[in-house]
Amino acid sequence: MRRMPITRSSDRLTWLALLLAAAAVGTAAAAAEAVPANASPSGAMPAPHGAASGGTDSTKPDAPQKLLDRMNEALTSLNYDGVFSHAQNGEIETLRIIHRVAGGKVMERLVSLDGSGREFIRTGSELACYLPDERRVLVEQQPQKSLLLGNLPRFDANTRRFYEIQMGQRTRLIGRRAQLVLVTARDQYRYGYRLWIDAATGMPLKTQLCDGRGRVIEQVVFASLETPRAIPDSAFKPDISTAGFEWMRQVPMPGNARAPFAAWYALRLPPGFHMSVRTEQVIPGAGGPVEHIVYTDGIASVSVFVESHMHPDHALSGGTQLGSSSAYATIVDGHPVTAVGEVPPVTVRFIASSVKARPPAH
Amino acid sequence: MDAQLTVMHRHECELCDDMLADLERLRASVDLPPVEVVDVDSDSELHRKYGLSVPVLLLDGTVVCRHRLDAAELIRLLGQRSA
Repeated sequence: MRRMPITRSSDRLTWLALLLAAAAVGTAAAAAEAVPANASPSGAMPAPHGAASGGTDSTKPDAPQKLLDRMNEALTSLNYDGVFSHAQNGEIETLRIIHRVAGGKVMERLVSLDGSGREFIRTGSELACYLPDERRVLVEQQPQKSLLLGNLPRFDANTRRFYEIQMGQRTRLIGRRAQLVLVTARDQYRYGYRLWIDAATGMPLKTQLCDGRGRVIEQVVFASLETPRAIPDSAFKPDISTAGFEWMRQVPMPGNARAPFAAWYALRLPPGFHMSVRTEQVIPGAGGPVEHIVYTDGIASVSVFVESHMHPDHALSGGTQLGSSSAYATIVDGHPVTAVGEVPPVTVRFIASSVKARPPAH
Repeated sequence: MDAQLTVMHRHECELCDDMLADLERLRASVDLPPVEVVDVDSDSELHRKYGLSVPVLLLDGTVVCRHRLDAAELIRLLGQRSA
């Protein structure tokens, strides 16, 4: 359910927030990789506007999986405009999300309604982060599959080994019929989900990320949601004036750049996790390129960042929490290593502690 | 004329119920006007005007806050009204 960290972080955790933003790029790519081969291509409408439930029979064993597939399709292919509350760590923020697919092009806008005025506008693969409290605009490239509302679980045969998926109760939310789907982790290395899915549109009206005891770690609840046939371009303009703002563009790594330090890998992984993405990134504030490796079980993802140089500001050590994400930092052969993800603390500690440098080939 | 608070509300909306609960908590320490709850989806004009902003709190028809209770702003406006 990771989304861009829209609230202002404390200075101590700024570096971790930057890693989280970078992790959002990698885990979105991992989520894209996890799309089942038989899923409809993005851009295909899952159901006509305002159509009935699409005939999902809740008594069939594969019904919850079909509902999750439909939810992910709705999130990526429908036009929607809604306001939701986002709660984690006792803090509640109200945000507006606008999403449009027109002519094969995706546009999204996420706006904080609680005072910070922060906005995120995605046009295709480009994401602009408007930060009026810092008088800055950050522009970076994001994978097409990345959603500002966050990525929600997709299932295949492999992920079912590590998660149980069940239908819950039918209920009503914001005047709509909703079906609860329960996604329960089978071990301590991952979180579960509760998802209330709109019968009419397939959109998630309420989502909860839950730990092994069923405690809610993060919650998103819509107060309003519309799925209009068309959304005007004006809906994707920022409310704030950017006069006098500093514009910062992410510097893409040259295509032929070689890693200036050893390739890294996790010697051991929790059950079901495998490496899905390995990239080299430039992260503002880092002394050099940062190696970014994503490990995923198909639903949960952990990003591992290995820095090329020691940097006193990044001297995080041990475990910490940032919102619903756990992080664990350590030093391996003089390189800061940070593992971060929406997983229990034991998982990031397990993975970070297993990171080793691959011996150079002879 | 007696003051009137109105909450533009939606059925099964947790944010709307939170605002009503916050108003009742505030009433324990502040003398608040009565609260009328209006279903925003019961009328197309109300839906057009407030549908994407629920819950909306109004004082005598003027918007006080949207989405969450702004107690400080409500108290300020009530003070202005009685001055």
